[in-house]
Amino acid sequence: MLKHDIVVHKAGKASAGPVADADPITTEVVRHALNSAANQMKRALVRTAFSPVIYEVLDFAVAIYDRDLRLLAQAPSLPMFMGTLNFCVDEAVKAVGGVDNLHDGDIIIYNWPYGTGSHPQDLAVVMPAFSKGELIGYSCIKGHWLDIAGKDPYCTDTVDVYQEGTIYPGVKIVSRGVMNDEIYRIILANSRVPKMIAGDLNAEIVGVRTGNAAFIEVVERFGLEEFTKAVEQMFDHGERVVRSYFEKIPDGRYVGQGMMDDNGIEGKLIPFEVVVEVSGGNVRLDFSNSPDQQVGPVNCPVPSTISTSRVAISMLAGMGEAPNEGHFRAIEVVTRPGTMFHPLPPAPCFLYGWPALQAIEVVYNAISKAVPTAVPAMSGGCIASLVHWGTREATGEPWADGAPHPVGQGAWKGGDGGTMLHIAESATRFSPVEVWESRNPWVVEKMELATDSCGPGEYRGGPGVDFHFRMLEDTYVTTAVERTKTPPWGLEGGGTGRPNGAAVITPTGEVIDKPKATRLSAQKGGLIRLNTGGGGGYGDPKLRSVEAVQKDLKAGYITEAFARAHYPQAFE
Amino acid sequence: MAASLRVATDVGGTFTDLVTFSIDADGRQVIRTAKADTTPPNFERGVLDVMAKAGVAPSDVAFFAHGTTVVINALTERRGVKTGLVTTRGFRDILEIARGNRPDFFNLAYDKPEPFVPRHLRLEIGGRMTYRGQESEALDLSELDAIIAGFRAHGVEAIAVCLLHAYANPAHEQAVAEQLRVLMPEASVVASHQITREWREYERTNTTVLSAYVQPIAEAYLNGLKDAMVAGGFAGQLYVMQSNCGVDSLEATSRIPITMVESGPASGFWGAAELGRLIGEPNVLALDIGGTTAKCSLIENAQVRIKTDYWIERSRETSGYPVMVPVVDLVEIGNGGGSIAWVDEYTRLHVGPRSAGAMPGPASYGRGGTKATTTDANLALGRIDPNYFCGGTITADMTAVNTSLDELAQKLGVDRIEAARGIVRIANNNMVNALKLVSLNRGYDPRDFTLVAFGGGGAMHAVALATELGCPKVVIPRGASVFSAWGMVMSDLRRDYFVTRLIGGGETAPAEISALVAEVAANARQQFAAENVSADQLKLVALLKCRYQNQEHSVEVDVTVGSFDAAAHAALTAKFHDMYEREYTYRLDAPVEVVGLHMVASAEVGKLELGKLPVTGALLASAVKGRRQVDYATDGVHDATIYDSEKLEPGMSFTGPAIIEDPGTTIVIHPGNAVAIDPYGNTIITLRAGEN
Repeated sequence: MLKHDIVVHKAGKASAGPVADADPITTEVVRHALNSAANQMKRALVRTAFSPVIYEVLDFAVAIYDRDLRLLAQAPSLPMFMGTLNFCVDEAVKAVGGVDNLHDGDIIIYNWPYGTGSHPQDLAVVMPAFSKGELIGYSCIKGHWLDIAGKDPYCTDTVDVYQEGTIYPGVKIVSRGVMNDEIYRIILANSRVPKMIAGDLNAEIVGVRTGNAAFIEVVERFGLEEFTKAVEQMFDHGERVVRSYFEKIPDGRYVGQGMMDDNGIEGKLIPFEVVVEVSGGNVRLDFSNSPDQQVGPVNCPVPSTISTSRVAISMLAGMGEAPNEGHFRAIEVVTRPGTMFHPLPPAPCFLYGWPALQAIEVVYNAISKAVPTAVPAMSGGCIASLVHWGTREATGEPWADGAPHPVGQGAWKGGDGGTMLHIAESATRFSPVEVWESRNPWVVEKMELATDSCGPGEYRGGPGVDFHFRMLEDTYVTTAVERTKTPPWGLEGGGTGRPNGAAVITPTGEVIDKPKATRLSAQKGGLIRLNTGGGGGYGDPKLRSVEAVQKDLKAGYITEAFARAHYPQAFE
Repeated sequence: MAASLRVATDVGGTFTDLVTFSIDADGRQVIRTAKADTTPPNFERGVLDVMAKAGVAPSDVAFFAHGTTVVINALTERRGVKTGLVTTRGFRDILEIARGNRPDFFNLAYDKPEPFVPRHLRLEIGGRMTYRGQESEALDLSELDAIIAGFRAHGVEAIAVCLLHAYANPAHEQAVAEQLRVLMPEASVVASHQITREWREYERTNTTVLSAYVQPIAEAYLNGLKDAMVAGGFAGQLYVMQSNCGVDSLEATSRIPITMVESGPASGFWGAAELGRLIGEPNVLALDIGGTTAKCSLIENAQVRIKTDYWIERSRETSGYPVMVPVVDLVEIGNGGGSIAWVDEYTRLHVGPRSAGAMPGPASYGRGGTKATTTDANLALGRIDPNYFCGGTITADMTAVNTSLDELAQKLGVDRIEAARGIVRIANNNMVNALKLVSLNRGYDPRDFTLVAFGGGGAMHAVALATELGCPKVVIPRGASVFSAWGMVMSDLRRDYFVTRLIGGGETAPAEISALVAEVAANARQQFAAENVSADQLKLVALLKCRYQNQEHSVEVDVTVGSFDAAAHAALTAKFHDMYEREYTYRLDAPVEVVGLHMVASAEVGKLELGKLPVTGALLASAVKGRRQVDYATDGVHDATIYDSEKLEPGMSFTGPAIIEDPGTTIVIHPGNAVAIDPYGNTIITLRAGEN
């Protein structure tokens, strides 16, 4: 393949310069009011959504942008989406003919993966906000739709983007407040679960309308001029926070190493690296040395590569604040067209999220080489997703459901890892088994912390989880589980955790060990077994306190054999 | 003296408070208060002490309502007993896995809260129920022998039993609990179905565990209280304040003490609902500002909202622990009069959540506090009179106030008064956001609500908050600083029953709904009969939780308790579509399902009949204490008239700028506000008409 030149992306729009007469108190009030508006939008969506992927898994992001597409506020949801929404708004507006063709009450849907950064299932709903006839910004929601007529509801084996689902290239589903029924019918016709899609689309429309109403109120309360001063100051503050973090990190070039199991089509490992270059208060994330774009769907379109960079850096350096445009200004992202982190259409990208979420931890791996205490060891390293579907025996109704699963978290200087969803899905809540069993034809026979799965160390990783799902009807499942061949790394002498694993066991006992596979048949009486990874350890295991080892033994997190092998000090 | 007093006592972490209510010969409500030290572990002694201080003998008391923080404090201070858990095979880690989320989104070193039962005391038993409540695997009670041996070896004192799908069919849980009580009589045993019949195993398991953890302590304390009161000649029924805004009998509370967990704020919100009913304000945003926190709740159509997704110790940093009992829907933030103002390393001003507490308290207390608090800012701005601080009981240390403000001002690069205004604005902003959480975020428009503010600090900020939210009116109740106690003596005996049951939209739906309502109603009648409440005194309200099929969140639709036929079902569906559309602006052509029932059972247990205050015809001028310059922070500096609340009487009216001084609170009236004293002595403030 022709080697393209690298491309340098600014992750945040630069400051126009300091604002002289902004009042710091008003800025704080505006900042909180905008975050409150984004939270109202999230709340409206969650309360009205139909699919658990939205209301439980929170597989969406909501955000409010100003008219220059600078992030004003977002509500805690899926971090990986959040950083892509400005691209979604930009492309959606271009698609309908630019800002001159926007009217009060318009709502656009858009899901071309090379513009959204995601697979086609992640559909953006964009609504321009007008105050006194003037365009002041946008509310945007990107949410995962359970099915939009891809070759399967969830795929690990697509070879181009057109197999992955219907494309909505930026069309007004609502025009000046009036729903376009023709497009609505096309949408419902292109789904295996149209009822859920109808519900979720309506929920997203309610969401952007709620967000805009709250956003417009904030602008009108302060007046556009005062408001603008306040947000400029808010952005400048965000910028200072992130830059001051990197000013404390020694300048240098730090390399993080990642490893994908395979691309879903070809069964070979895919090593990749991200180089983190720190220079004063600037940080550059260089993905240009990535492998060529893949024939299978593990390609991560540029908006998600930038989003991943934004997420990794704002989690690390954002002081726990909800990020805005300013937090991204210190970040530069470098990619090379034609590679896994800058694929060109029509490369398949259904599993774009897997390299993206691993890249967050790879960035931390790089940072650990500068300041080991700044970051945790690796987690189970995956969201460990299973997506199920089928037709219910009793009613003949089509159904689909999917969820990520908790993994062990990496230990850090000062603490053991816990067991939670991957950091890329921080806000996601795991479904209660009692609710799950009422919705889906299975029984969860086991959900327990896995013995000896945690990476040893002075601080140990969090245990992984063993799940057993017993099927009550014939179903299909797509397994989307990464890092099954390479264990989570430890830091500073800490040991590795257990890698992930997933298998379907037939009613006759045959084990089909396929952690990344599409449309596996999980038959009535059969079992789906998911073993999520444990977190890596931090620091030399020999330094772990005898008391902590004994506590782990008493709790049964580890066996005596494991303890003797890694923590001999407890037996002296 | 005949037993005629209504008494509310409240055991807090530091003090035990008492408020008595009586009606004098003129019909004027007389409120008396007293305070004594809390006396752990024999809390009943503090209650007797405070009664003695107030000169109240147990035999004088007609109605005794008791609120307590003993349960919540035992939980947060981890002073419960050693607790074991029996759960379904394969699920002992549910307490630890929880819901898998990380509330502190950006915290790479998030430390999950540790379960109340360590892993080696979480033991499993076989047997399964389906979500429909059918047995799919039999229970083998002989497995309990090994479990009990394990508990005994570790000195377990209380056992929680929570099995999967026990909300649908508690038979296995009942059998396990009964056997445990027989074989391990030294331990107290509680099973999840005794507390809740709702699904979600993590939340239910944790609730059961927390209840077991505090049960022996709460039981001993409540029994001690009862014995002491009876020994003193008290002949009435002792009522204990619950988190659902009602009271319950002492006996019922000792069995499931976890229902008291958030009883403190509940009584104030109930008071706001009762007051709203009395004065014709059915839609209320209720705000209670104390020394360390502000709490708010929304009351619609005179009804408090009760939910079962309460969490203790939840914050932005940590997920806390779920408690699935009926709790008034409230939002609490760390912003009270004593909240400390501080400047971060990026020169941004924050207020709270850290509080100066009672010691040293705000700088103005002159007890060595050096950090400026909201109260100090209010003093500096002349909103509180330094010469009438805390009703004149404390001399405000204005030197300390100025020093503390100057320190902040210097960091912010502004002058002292700007810093004080900044504190008030940030504190207001925090409270506005909390009020938005209970209104806008729940789909309500604050412009349709009247703000009722109470607690020591409510009246100081209420007008500014109402202005920002667009509430047309503010009500400051008479006796605002002890309003929670008033709410307590106005409470009904009340229980909220929440039952999960999935009922689709098919032909059998009316019969299934009928059966569900009848079953829960019969249970409620039986339980209230045991409290000597007859069927005709008992009020039952049935709220069906409805949703579009597959949705998660439901809407409560009220139905009549009685026969439920196809016509009633059609009416229910139509009402759901209407309510849903009103709240969310659209309706769908999708099947509607019932996901459960919320039944409210209540009976009046002797409320205080509030009479109108006498009017002497005194002139308004007689209530004027003077004038002073007041800085309204958001509204400029004005020469305000100062009124003495104790000399204001019904029918008086005036306009702001003004300040009303009460021994327990200060009411800040902004320029242009219209004030009227209503027949009960409440202060009604109408905001500027042009801006509403």
